[in-house]
Formats: sequence, structure tokens, C-alpha cells
Amino acid sequence: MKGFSALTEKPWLAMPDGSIAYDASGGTPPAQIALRFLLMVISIAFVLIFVTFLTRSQYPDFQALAGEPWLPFNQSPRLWATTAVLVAASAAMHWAWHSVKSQKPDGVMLGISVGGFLALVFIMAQWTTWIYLANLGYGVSDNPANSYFYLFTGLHALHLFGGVLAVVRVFIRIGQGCSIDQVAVAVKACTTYWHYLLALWLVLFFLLTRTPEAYALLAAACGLG
Amino acid sequence: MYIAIVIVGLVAITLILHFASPWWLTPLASNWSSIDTTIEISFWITGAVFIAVNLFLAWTVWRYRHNKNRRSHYEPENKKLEIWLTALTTVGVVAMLTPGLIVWAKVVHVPDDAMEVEAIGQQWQWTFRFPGDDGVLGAANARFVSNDNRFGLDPSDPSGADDILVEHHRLHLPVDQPVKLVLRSNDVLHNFAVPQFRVKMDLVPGTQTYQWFTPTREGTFDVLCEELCGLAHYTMKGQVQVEPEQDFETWLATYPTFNDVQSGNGIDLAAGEAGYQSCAGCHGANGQGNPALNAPNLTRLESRYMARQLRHYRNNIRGTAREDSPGQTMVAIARGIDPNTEADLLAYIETLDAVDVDGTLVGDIANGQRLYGACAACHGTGGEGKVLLSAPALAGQSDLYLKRQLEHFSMGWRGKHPEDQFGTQMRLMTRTIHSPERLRDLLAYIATL
Amino acid sequence: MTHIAIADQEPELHHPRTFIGKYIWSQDHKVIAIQYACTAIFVGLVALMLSVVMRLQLGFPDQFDFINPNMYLQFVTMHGMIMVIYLLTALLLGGFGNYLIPLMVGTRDMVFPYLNMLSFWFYFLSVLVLLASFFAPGGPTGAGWTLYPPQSILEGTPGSGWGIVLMLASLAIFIIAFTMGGLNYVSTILQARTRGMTLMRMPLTIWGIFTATILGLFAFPALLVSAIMMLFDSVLGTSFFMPAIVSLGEATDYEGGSPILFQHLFWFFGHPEVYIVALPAFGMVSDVLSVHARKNIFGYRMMVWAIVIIGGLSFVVWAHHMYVSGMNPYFGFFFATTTLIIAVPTAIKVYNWVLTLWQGNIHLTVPMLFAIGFIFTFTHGGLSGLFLGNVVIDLPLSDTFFVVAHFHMVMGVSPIMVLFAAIYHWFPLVTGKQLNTRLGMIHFWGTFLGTYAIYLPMHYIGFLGVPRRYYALGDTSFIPDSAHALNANITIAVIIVALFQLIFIINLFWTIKREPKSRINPWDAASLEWHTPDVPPRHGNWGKELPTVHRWAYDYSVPGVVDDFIPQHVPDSDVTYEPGYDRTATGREST
Repeated sequence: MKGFSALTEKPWLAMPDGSIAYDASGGTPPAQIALRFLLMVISIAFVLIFVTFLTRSQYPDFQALAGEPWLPFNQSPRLWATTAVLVAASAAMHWAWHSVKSQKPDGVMLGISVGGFLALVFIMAQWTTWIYLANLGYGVSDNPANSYFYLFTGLHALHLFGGVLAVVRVFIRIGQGCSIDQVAVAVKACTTYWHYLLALWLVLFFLLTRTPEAYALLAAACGLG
Repeated sequence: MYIAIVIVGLVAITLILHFASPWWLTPLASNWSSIDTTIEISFWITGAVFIAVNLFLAWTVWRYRHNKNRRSHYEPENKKLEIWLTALTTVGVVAMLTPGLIVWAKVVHVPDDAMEVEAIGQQWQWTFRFPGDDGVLGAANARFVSNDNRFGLDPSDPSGADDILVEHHRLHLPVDQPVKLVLRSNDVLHNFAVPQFRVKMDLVPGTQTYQWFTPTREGTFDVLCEELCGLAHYTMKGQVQVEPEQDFETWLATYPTFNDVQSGNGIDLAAGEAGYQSCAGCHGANGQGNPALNAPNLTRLESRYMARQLRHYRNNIRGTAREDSPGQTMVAIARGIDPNTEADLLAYIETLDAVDVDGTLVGDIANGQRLYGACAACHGTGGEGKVLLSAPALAGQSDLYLKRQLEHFSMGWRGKHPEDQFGTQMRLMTRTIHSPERLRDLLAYIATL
Repeated sequence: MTHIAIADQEPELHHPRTFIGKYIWSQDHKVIAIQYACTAIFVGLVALMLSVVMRLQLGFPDQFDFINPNMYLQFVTMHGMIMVIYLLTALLLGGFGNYLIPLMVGTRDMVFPYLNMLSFWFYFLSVLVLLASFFAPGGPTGAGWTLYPPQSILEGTPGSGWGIVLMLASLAIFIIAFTMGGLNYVSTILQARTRGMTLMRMPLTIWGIFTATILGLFAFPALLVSAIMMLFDSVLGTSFFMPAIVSLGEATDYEGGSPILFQHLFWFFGHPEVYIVALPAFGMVSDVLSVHARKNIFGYRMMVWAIVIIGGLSFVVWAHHMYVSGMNPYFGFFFATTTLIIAVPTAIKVYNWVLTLWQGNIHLTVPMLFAIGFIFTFTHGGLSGLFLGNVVIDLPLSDTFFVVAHFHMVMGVSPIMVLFAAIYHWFPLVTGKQLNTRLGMIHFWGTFLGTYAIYLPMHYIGFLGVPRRYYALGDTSFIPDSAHALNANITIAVIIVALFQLIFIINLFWTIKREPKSRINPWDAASLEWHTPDVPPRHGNWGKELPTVHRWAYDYSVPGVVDDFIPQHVPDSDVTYEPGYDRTATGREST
């Protein structure tokens, strides 16, 4: 899109044939456009939950999960470990995309397999975190901070799982003999999606392990105090 | 062709309906005449646009109807015309918005001399609270609500002790005195609306909201809940009675403070037992009632319910209908009860062991169970009654007594008096029973509880 | 990435051979559109029945023993939810969007046909889940279509157990379906337009659908999020929206949540939703008016900008639904202002519709009648919105029948007028047959006059202060008996309007069975969808080669041109001018 100038054209005026270059695709495959919109949609959903989270964090019954030594995420080696897994998954996907560009089929296979597998490992790790939390007595309904932790990580894991399904589909297509060019768009989309979910996880990680003071500051900064 | 004529006709009908219709804003009874003025302004502006656009539309359709020998005029756009129309519309919008925002600023700012009153909503009744001598409403929270603390006041807050609790659906207010109505809900969303006052606001559990107005006209006005609050939403009505300051003070003095309610007076069960002897003739020594004498089972009733009914009998609220002969009997008896020992009497009745009266009516129990669904919200799924909702127990009660009462409600022989809030609700609810067969089915099911 | 010109690719379509492949698991956008439309019209008829039942109770209280307060609230709720989401959104975008986008922008299908098919089947599943709630223990939810907590998940509201859970689940599935469809529509419009189809040459229908789809993609997440969080509150006992409360005399474990938070989320979706319905209708009615008046749409650019501006503004007005909700009252200033600003672009659209007719050559066909009817009803509904948007006027009027009358005029009757206009207009394209005109006329007059007879008086009941969502009014001092009589009359009008819809259904079957094939492009429309090699278009839409677009979709009655319209794909060299006509005189030649 050429921005606003395209919207001021007077369409009833004749344009000599050939003066309109074929402008619809603009070089971007539709899958990319669709993915961009999908990521915007997902972002909006999460941003909306962030807004409710920050609002809710200022209510008196909210007890943050960090800030005091006895709270589960005051030190969070567990979450750092899962983060490392997700970073590795993202790197593997990136490797797959890199291999597409340099036309190395084995690299693509290896990249997406490792990327998909590590994503599953990450989901398993989140699962153990939930069990760990629940065993500590931080059940889903005991406090809004806990509720949000389960909600956020659950939705994130669900999205990641959806991505794994997409990767499996690419995997099968390669197995059926599709060439690298035929799956290029899909691999690129998966890679973008993995990076996006990593970034989203980092935001979640940051947000869920703040102290009450930090929440007060954040909420005030967003005008939600 | 016809469409042009019809559109002109519809515009005409709309105007006739508007100017001739008997249905319009109810006569104002508060200071918010400025809201009515804003509505007037909007009417003139939108009305002019409505007439202009549609008459022009009708004329255009008629004038430019299909004609084989004519071609449409070719004109992709007309900047000048479009700019003019945009500017005119903007002027119209500003003319409506400006007065609106000015009035809204007044709605938002409560005057300093406003009297503070609290309206409390709960499914499906209104109660009210005045701040008492200290002029401060004590803290309250739904967590404190119990049978003994129905308003949910915080017992540890000293400023709540002198709060005056009005456990009645009618709020009295002095005329010409600005009122800040603080709104609080203990369960779900409600909305306090008096059409004659124009303002309204939701009650939101977990937080407080407010509205303010100055009643300017004496009279009694209906309070409606206007935020869907569940099954019996439509029965959740109260009243506001606007009266001279003097009458208001007198009325307010009849209500107890939180402290009075909490301390309670010493109960003398022996005096209660002695008093009960005159009741035992009909209601039986164990309070189990006697269907032959039309006397209900008292053993599962709770003292507040009985106290309310005795008050209703005494004050010509219940038992006034000619068709309600057992009620008329009770009117005389209730007037004979010594008000000083009534609490003892009722406390004694509450100590009686619960007795269940067996059902006598035969009906389709499965159908009755379906019908009971609407009753269960207040009277409990087991028919045990709910003190907080002012709903008496139905289980164990004589089915003949229940049948008579439901019939009386549906005929308007009970519950028609405006003072009888719950009776009014029951009248609305009994209308959904519709037929004697369904009533029998319902009672047959209640007898199984 | 190398340049991939989608429209130039050889059609990679798998032509199905079996009946199931063709009509059930079809990936053809036209079949999917018809599947969407039929499902939506079916649930729409269910919702229409529900409204008749609740009107019976309102008009003739306590006369019908099969209605009780529980059912009344359940029917109110389901009527609203079905009409807004499962009928209007699905029919306008899933139905018309699917059918028209590829044809109007000149492509063979949606860019992701498989996703498109999934979209329909998810929608179908969401409808099944919705209908299942009628048979669940306790019945469907009766919390009002806004589903406000706390009451929606507490005892004392019908369907607070199974009903609300199924409702929320159905909404979540619907949103997934919509997202799949929406990604398709947006990508197709942005990336698969044929040669020469610049953005500003697209018909307004596409602009309306495009903007509405983007609104939907960005607004539905709010509903999804609120649905998920409410499911947590209901099933897992969390307190996102639930404060400490007593429920029917029993203390609950909830603590500290905020019901108003839900309302913000809901209306952040709910207000754009109004425009998700309205914008496609705006677009389609523009095209119908233009074709049947034989005149280009007046002020095309302004129309496009208005659609885009309305779409943008619709995200900053949501709290005008919450003036009396107990939110911070200072928000009222902001939201009243933004809300009334929206009136300006909306009014421009109305002016331009009327000015399109002005100096036209108006054929009063059935679609045109519905379009004119729309201008009337929409003007009325739009103007009453100026009352409710102006925050102080909302105080006496909110939660009364005025609100009910307003939103039915503006987003009930008006979009439905357009839907009928569109169905009568495009039916010859979809089936090759023109709907019977006489039945169509009867249908129009019954619907147009009948709905006005319903909603005009309803405004006045609202002024009186009669609250909505009341099963019965009971003794209320300020409501005169005449208002009850009026209510009875409204109910009779509702029954009549409902019966007139049967004529429409009969017309559909009659036409398909009995009417002869109509002329191709019977309205002489210039836009691309009427110029496929086959009518109805076959799978793949276009023949060997995609069409090239040489003009906008509104070249009607061009001065000097012999024909009274020039189809979009006809190059200037093929246009016959009147002898001796000076082509430079109109200024159409310059850029």
C-alpha cells in the first residue's frame, strides 16, 4: 500500500492503459499479510488482558508473586530455564529459515524439528511450573495474581501449540516430497511466529514477576491507577 | 412512485404522533429541568434534519423516477456542496453537544449541602441507610452480610453505629433538599431509577456509585431497578416519598440505628410462652397449625417474617379483603398482641421444634418441580426459605394454607397494598402459575420437599 | 522473496467431483457463502420466533401460560445474541463477504480456500453449541445479550450453569471462525486484486466489508478475552470480574474483582460490532442505489473516507454504552464528544446516498425500494442515536424502551433492509434467476411499514420511562393504560412483520422452482462481479484469463457514451461515443 496517497485518487478519471502497474501483491505473499494480521489480533487480545491485569493489580486483594523472599517468583530460576528453552526453539526455527534461503533441505528439516520439539518441551515445562505453583498452595482461584499467571501462560502455551501443529504440517509436506520453495512461505511464517511468541513470553515473564511497587508504577504510567 | 408518497406520509405520521401523543416524559419532580431542555434542543435539531432529509428524498424519488428519454446527470462529486453539508452538520452537532456537556458537568458535581443517603440493592429489594448524628455513613462490605447484619455494615467502624437502617422499600426525602444518593449493592448489578427525577445510576457490587438530585415536588414516586438483575428483576421496585422536612424527620425517627439492631433487647421466653397460649387454640400447642381452622404451621417460620405479617395485619395491609376471612380473624388478633412482648412471643415460637404438615393435594409432581424453578431462587431449592431475602419457608407448611395464599395473591386479596413490597412481588410471580391444575402440581411438589 | 503475482498464477483449484466435495466440504467461496447464508438465515428465523414469543408476553401479559419469567429472559438474551452475531455478522461478512469479495476484486477464490472452509465449519459448530444450550439443564443463559457478571454466572439468573458456559464456548468458537474468515477477506482484498483494480476503484461494498473485517479482527479479541476470563470465574472460581458478594442469601468465595472491567471489555468489542454490521450494509446499499439510479455514487472518495473514519472512531466511543454503569463519570465528557463526532461522517453518507438519487434516473425495483427504505429507517435510527450519545440525555433514556427502539432501528431494521436489498439485487447472479417481483413488492411494503409501526411508538414508550427487560410491568404509577394498549398494538405489528417474512421464504423457493432464467446482468450493473463468463459463476470464477480493470465500478450515464453504463473491464478503446462528442470536454481524460 502506498499509504494515503492511494486514497486520494479520483477513480472516475481515465488512466491510460499501462499507467497502473499491477499493484495488488506488492511483493508480499498473502500468507505474510495474513500472519501480520493474525499477530496483530493476538497482540490486541494480550494487550487487553494486560490492561485488565494492571487495573486489577491495584485492587487491595491482589498479592504479587514476587517482592518478598517467600514468594514463588521472587527468584525464578525455573522460569529462566524455560525461557532458555524457548530461545533455543526460536533459534532453531531461525536456522530453518536460514537454510531455506541457502537451499539446504537437511537444515530446514533439522531446524523445524528441533524448533517444534523445543516448543513442546517448553509447554511441558510450563505444565510443571503450574504443578509446582499449585503444590505451593498458589491455586488458580486463590488470588488474582495466580489467576492471571495461569491465564497468561495457558493462553501463551495454547498459541505455541497451534504453532506446533503448523510446523507438523510443514514437516509432513516436506516428507511428501515438497520442494524447499514450496514450503518457503510456511517456514518463514513459522519462524516469525516463533520469534513473536518468544517476545510475547519475555513480556509475560517480565510482567508476571514484578513486585507490588513495580505494578503500582506501571499502572500509574498507563493511567490505570 | 408510491414510495415517495409513503415517505411523506410517514414523516407526517411521525410528526403527528410526536405532537399529539399522550406518551411523553413523566412530569418532572426534581431539579433536572436542564436535562429536559437538552432533550428539547435535540428534538428541534434532529427533527429538522429528519424532515429535511426525508422530504428531499421523497421529492427526489418522485422527480427523478425512471424516464426512458432522460439520462442521469453525471457528477462524481461536488466539493463545495459536500463541505457545506459537513459544516452545517458540525454546527448542529455542536449545538446539541454543548448544552449536553454543560449539564453533565452539573450532574457530576454534587453540591456541598447535599444530604447523604445510601440506597442498597439486593436481589430483589431495596433498603436504605442514613448516616445518623455523625453525618458519616459507616464502612460496609458484602462480606459482613449475615442474618443479623443484613446491611453488611462493618461492626468495627464506629461511624456506622449511629447509622439509621431503613429496612423498607419506601424512602422518604424532604422536599427541596439536595440529596446525594450513595448506591451500593451486595450481590449483582442493579440500577436506581426514578423516571420523574430523570437521573439514574447502576449499583455495582464491590464499589460505590452515586447520583444526586433535589426533589422539587411532593408525592410518591416509583423506584425501578433498570439493570437486569436476574429472574425477578421486574419485581424489584421501591418508592420515594417526597414530603415536608417535618414529616420526614418524624418518619426517620421511627427507624433504629445499627447499634439498636445489634444490641437487641433481652428476650423473655417465659413471657413468650405465656403469650402463646392464646395462639395455641388455632395454631396448636406445638405450633403445627390446624388446616381445619385455616391456621398455618408456625414452627418453620422465622420471627422477622412473622413480625412483618403481624404488622401488616395491624396496619390494614393484610387481611383487609372481604374474601380473606381467616385474614380478617388475624387482624383482630394481631391488634390484641402487646407490642412490648411481641418479640418474646415470636422468639418463643422460633424455639418450637419444626413440624412438617403432610401434603393433601394430588398433582403432577414432575410438572410441579418445573414450576418451582422460579420459586427456588428466593425460597430455596429445598423450600427452606431465606432470611436475607425475606422469603419464608415453604417446606413443611400446610399445602391448603399455601394454596389459599397463592390464590389470594393472584386475585389481589393479599399483597395489593403498596406497603407490602414482597406481597406485590408475589402477586407478579403468582400470575405465572396460570391455572388451578398447575397450582396443584406446584403444591404437590412443595409437599415433597 | 521473489515477486509473486497471485492473480497471475494458474488456478490451483481442486475441482471436486463428488456431491459431498462440491456442496459440503467445499472450498469454493461461493458455496461457502451460500452455506453461511443458509445457516445464518435459519438461526435468524429461530431468533425471530423468540422475539415473537417475548412480544406476546409484553403485549398481552400473562395470557400465555407457556411463557414464564425465566423463559422470557432467556428468549430476550438469545434473540439479541443470535441476531447481532450469528445472523447479521455471519450473513454480512460470511455470506456476502465471501460471495462478493473474489468476484468484485477479480480473483478466482479467497487466498486460503481451505481456511475459508474451516471458517464455515467452525461457525456451524458455534451455532450447534449455541442451539445445544436450549436443551441443556437449566436452559440457555438469560443474562441479557451483554452477559454482564456477576449475575450471568450466579444462581437467580436463568441458565447460570450450563447455559452461560455453552454461550461463552459458542462465542469463542465463533470468534475463531471469524478470525479465519477475516484473515482471508483482508488478505484477498489487499493481495489478490486483479490488474487495474486499485484500492479506489473497488466498489463501496468491498470497502465496507474490508473495513468491517478489520474492525472485527481487532474487536473480537476483546470479546474472546472477556469470555475466557468469565469462563475462569464461572468454572474455576477465579475473581477477575467478581467482587465479594452475597448470592441469594449465601456468601460466596469471590473477592475483589470488578464487574465494570468486564463491561469495558465487552463494549470495546460491542461498539465496533455495531459498525461491523453497519459498514458492509453502508457499502452494499451504496452500490444498489447507484446501479438502480443509473448514476455513479455521489462523492465516492468522501464515502470511502467516511467508512474508514467511522471505522477508526468506533474504537474510541465504547463507553457511551456505560454512562450509567458507575464508571468514572468524567469519562462521560470524552465519550459523549467522540460519539457525537461520529455523527458527522455518518451524516455525510446519508447526504451522499440521497444526492446519488438526485438527478438520477430511478428504477423503483425491489432492491431499490429496500434501499430507499433503508435511507428512511437509518436516518430515523441515526438521529435517535444523537439523543443517547449525548450523555445527559442518556440518563433518563438508558435502559428504557427508547434504547430498544433506537438500536433496532439503526442496527436491526436498517441492516436488514440492506440485506434484503442485497439479496434481491444479487440473487440473479447467484442463481441466474430474478426473485419474483410481485412477491418482493408485498414483502417490501409489509416489512417497511410494519417495522416502522413497531419501532416508532416504541420510542415514546421509552420516553415515558418504561424499562426494558421487564417480564411484566405490574403496578407502576407513571405508566398509563394507554401505554399498555400501545404495547399490544406493537405486538400485533410484530406478528404481521413476522408473517411477511414467510412471503420472502416462499419467494425464494418459488423462484428457484418456477421462475425462468433471467437475463444475464439484469440490472445492467457495471461492477466486475456481473461480468463472469458464466452466470452463475463457476468454480474459479473467471475463464482462462483474469479480467483487467480499466475504470471504477460506477461508470453510469457517462456523457457522450452511447451505452448508459460501461462495465469495469471494458477498455476505453472499446467504448462507443456519440458521433462528434468532444471527449476532453468532461475532463475525464486528465489524471
